[in-house]
Amino acid sequence: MSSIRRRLTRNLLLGVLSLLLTGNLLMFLIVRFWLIEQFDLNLNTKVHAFAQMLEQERERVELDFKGELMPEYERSEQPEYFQLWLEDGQTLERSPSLQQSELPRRNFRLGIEEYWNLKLPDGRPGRAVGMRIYPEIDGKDRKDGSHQGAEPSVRTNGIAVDIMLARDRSELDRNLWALLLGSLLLGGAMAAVIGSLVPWLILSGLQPLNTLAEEMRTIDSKSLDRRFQETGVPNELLPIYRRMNDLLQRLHQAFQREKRLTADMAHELKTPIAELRAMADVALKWPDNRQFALESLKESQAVSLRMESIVETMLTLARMEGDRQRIEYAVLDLAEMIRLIWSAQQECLASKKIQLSLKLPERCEVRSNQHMLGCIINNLIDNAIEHCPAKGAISCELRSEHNAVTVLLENTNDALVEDDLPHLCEPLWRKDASRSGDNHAGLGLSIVDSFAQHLNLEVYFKLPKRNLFHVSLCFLMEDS
Amino acid sequence: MKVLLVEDSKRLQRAIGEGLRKSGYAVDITCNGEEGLWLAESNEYDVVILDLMLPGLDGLTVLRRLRDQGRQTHVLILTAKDTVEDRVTGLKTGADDYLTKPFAFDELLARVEALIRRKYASKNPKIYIGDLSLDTLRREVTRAGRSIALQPREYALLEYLALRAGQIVSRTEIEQSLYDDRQDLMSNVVDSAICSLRKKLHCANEPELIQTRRGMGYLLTAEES
Repeated sequence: MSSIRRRLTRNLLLGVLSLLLTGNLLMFLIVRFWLIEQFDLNLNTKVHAFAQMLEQERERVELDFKGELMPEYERSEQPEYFQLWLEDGQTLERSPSLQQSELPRRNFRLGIEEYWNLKLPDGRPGRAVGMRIYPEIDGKDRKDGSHQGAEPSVRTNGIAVDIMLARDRSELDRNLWALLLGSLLLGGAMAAVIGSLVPWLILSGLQPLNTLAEEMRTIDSKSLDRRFQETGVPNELLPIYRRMNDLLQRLHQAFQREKRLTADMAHELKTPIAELRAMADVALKWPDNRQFALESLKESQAVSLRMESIVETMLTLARMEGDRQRIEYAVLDLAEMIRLIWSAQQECLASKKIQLSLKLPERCEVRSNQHMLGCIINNLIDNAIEHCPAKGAISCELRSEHNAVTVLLENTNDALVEDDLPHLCEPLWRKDASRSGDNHAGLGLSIVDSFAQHLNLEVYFKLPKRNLFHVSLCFLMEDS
Repeated sequence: MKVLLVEDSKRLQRAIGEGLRKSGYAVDITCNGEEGLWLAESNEYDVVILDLMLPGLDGLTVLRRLRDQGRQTHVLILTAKDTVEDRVTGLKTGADDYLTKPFAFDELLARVEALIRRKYASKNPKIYIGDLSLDTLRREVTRAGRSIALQPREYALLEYLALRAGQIVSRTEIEQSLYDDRQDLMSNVVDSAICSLRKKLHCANEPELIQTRRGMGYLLTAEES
């Protein structure tokens, strides 16, 4: 399973430990180089001291070595060694500490010191320096003044002498091992500290995420009204908290809608089933009551037709939700369509003594689907008549201006309040909590909303003033 | 026995009302919560069958107001609301029983009968008064081992007297308990029903079970006056 904490810990540990290892290695190499350089510098000083001690007199080279000044070349314990060769390979001088043994000679370059490790004649590990020089020529043998004061090493004539010094390097090796061990120990200790510190730091850094996860874990379908507290949340998590709260708000609304729908559906279907069953039970229990049985049959037919209508409408809504079916468009005369629908409602208007004000142009062409648009207009008009109280007023206007056609429908309505508007298009929603009456089931505006979405129409509901319900249906015309 | 049905569905009103009347109950019916509350406050019903989702005043408010007034009328909630929360709320508000729609009419009838028995503090569906026996479940009456066929209204009258056996029941109480607003009450309707019942219950060499207390009412008892 992917875990930010594990990945961060792993990557951070790898990164920090790599840096630590590299840093330690670099430090070791630098100190090692410096130690060896200091060791070599000591050898270098000595080899140059030997060079100064050499003097050429006529065809002879002499070394002015004084053992008391350099006792390290004479002592028997942990001595140092030197050996000087003439260019023909003949040994010019060598340290008393060598006794019978010899230092291994190399081909030295003139004036350039060479350093290397070797095994000393007594078996100890050692380090040596070697160079070739031309010794100082004694003043009385000088034929010209050209060599006066010149470095012996840079002269190019005379008798060349190879100088080689060697000394014990055990201490240097010990120091280098101690350095390596110290580096390893320090690195290990630092790695251990980092290894325990990094996961803890990451864990505490990710704590707000854990808190969020824990809070989310406790939210279930019954606590969708809870919201995450945004105070004290790190800036990086604030957008997540806000999005989560928005999501919870939407989920809560959706759950509430579903709950209402389920309750409404239960009532809309249970009541007619209860009616059918009660009528059947009583008719069967007293079969001699033929009048009741006959009336129950008629009522049963009405109940089943109403249930059929509800189920058909719900299925239509479900189909419209799930499937963007192909819609056939045609040019329709909207003014004529509205006129026809109103004319079919004259009886209802008269029975409720509703005043109708119609403002329709002679002709108004829109491109739409005849069946779906007819359903929308029919439902809006049915709704206006159904919810308009007796002796109320309805106005219907069709406006065509610029690139928009708008149907405006207003009716007297003393029941709705502003809070009801968001629920108007919910399936089976009814203002009347008792859900009495068979005339409607709360599906008309759901159909309007669904069909309008499919036809790219916009429907707005408003309560512009007290006791007045307003619906706008807008057609956005394409630019010609 | 008198029942008030507060239900907004016209079809349920008709079916339940018809069934209850056929079973011998007097039934008052209303579709509105406010009117239901007014009827329950103004009359003495044995059982009120109350829907919850009602126009005017919802059923829970009706029930709450009845209980706030200290009325002990047995209330059976009959509703489509079937969640546990709804049932608990209904019962905690003061309902005596809760039945969800759809329902079997026989079950509704049985629950109404149970509430009536509870009202008269009788758990046994069989009532014995001397050699008279009433099976309130099967609505059968026997005297001295002889089965007696009664009309629903006669049975209701006998059951009402039997539930209050040993007590004097006034004519007004009988009228209020056994006759609903659909019957056009004549002045001697109760006397006629009592007379008819006496004839059917008459048994040679056995004492009359229904006795008249002049100026007070009627008394059902096995003891001779």
